[in-house]
Amino acid sequence: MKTIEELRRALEDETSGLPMNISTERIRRRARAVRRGRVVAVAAGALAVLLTVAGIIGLPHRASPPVLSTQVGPTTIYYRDGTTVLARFDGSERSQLSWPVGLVVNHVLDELSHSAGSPLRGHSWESIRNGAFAITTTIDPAAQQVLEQSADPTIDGSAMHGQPTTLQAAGAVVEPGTGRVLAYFGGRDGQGADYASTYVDEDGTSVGFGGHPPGSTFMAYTLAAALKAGYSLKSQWQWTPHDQVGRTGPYQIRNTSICPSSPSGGSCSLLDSVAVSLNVPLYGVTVSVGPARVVDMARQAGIDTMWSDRGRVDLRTVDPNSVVPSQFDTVLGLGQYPVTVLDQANAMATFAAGGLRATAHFVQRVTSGGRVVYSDTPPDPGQPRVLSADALADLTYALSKTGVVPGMAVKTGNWSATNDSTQNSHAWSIGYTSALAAAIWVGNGRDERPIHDRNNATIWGSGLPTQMLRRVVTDTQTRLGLRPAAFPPPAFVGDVNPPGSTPS
Amino acid sequence: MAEPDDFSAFVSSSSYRLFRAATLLTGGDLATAEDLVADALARVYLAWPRIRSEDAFAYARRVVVNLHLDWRRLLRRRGETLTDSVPERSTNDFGHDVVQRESVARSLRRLTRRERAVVVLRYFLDLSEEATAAELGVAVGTVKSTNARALAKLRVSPDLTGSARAAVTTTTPIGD
Repeated sequence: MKTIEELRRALEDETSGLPMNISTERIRRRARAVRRGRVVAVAAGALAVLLTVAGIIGLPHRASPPVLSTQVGPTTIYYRDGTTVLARFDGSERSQLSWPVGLVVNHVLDELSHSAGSPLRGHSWESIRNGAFAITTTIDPAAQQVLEQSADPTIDGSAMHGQPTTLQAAGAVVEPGTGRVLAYFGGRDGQGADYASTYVDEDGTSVGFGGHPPGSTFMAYTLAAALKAGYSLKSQWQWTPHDQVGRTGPYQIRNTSICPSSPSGGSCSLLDSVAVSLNVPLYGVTVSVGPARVVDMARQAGIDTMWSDRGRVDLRTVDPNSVVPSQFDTVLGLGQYPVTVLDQANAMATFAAGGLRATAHFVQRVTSGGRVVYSDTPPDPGQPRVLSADALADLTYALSKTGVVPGMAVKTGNWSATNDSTQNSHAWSIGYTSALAAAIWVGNGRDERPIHDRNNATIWGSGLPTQMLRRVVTDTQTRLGLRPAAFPPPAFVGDVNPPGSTPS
Repeated sequence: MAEPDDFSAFVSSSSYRLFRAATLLTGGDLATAEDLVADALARVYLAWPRIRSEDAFAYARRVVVNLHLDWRRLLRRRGETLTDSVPERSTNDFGHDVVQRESVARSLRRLTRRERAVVVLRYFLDLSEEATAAELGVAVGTVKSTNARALAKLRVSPDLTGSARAAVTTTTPIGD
């Protein structure tokens, strides 16, 4: 070949007469597989339309995105220090993408190519990888190391080391007040499944297995909604199983624990009910406050996504009243519906930051040719808090009173795949200090089955996940030199006799 | 569910052209090329109500190229470590009778995935530089430079007529 015309001819000749075997059955089969992951993409499209109508973002345009960089070359992704390389797309170091931080890279590319504020919105991942950008993430190298040393089963000394291979852990650490994700573990394989959240890949397909039933961890939001509605921690609620709205006779809500201040039955304070995760009173609280207000509290705190039996619901864009009860039953207050590990960490960060809600994100800064083309913006300190200072003090007091981890607000939770409440399939521990917020989930990599540790003992949220949470938060604070301030004392605001409670 | 008739018509009229482009993109790997096209047509099928009135071939072409450039797909499919150039193969994917064909396939394999995409879009699918840039989501300058590198590796004169440098490169063996 010497000329372009000869090249054209060679390309034609080369490919003429080749045997092809593509049946319509094969296309249909592929379509079914693609569609399973595509439903969400359709929903995302509808979401974009909604937001556009609301004037929040512009129409997604795929034709000719604005060209920022005319440079060509491998893009480098750094940890938040801006000097330690996390990944570099020059071929030689791509193997790093198979490490746990490979999932961070996918989130970075998703954020830059899809989110409203990004200057690279609409660009292909390939063009970002080869646009000679320097991307500084929010990931702290020490915090990431600490999290991996807890959650990565291949690391000797990690809590997951030597555990049954079917067991899977995921975790996230978020900086309160900024929403910066300091550490992220969605799985050991950076090119594999993401168990900590989901992201939208280059084709617009939602990828990831990060949604898990939160169980009693969700009671943190139920309690927050009650406090916001003016219910006192000291209000009393009948905790002995009884007929409640929507749950009567054989369908009565039951407990898996007992009230410490009234072990023989009767009523239990909201404070104690949350501390020991009593289902009966928390269901009553959800009915009384209103399930839509619990959903509203969760989404204001940071739960962007929740899965109903029918699929994914983007809580950011829906009127809570429109999804209750059509998508979510009142048991939502007990944590039946899956949420992601990252959203849980972000919601904890909102509480840690005095109710200042930020958006969890992975990209801190992007430079092109030495010029900063993007930097993240913290939330406006003047924006309304999701809870009053007094209500937040009470929430934090209730979550730290259990003393699961001294000096830390913690909520644990479990969810059983079966009716057997001694066989968990999901175990959680989420929490915060004033300096850090984190969420840890332990469950199954594949099938929903009971989770047991290396000694064949049932895993509870207060066990393995809480050990991991404690180690992750305390070690990260030590490594980063963070000194969390003491929590404020409880204010005990609100009505001690709210509707639905037991008169006292 | 039955395909709309016009989708079947679209498949029969365009799948072979897409397949030929895909074989070039994959450097002569027929099996992977088939997978690429089947996956792309599956996506066309799902989007058919939306794109039937538009340029469906352009849509399908874009999906083929994007799937080809998606390195995660490659890793998922093969569990291999990705390098910029596809390794040489010991078997001849084009069959036994095509000794002279092999030269182009082998030359294409020396290109990076993106260089191959540019060459195929520009010279097999006859897109302009601007259209190629839009297709790949990169700047026109990037297409120019990538194309220049690719042509140099293929020992093709960037001059369209080729007359000036043809004489110089005549004696240059394509070889390994």
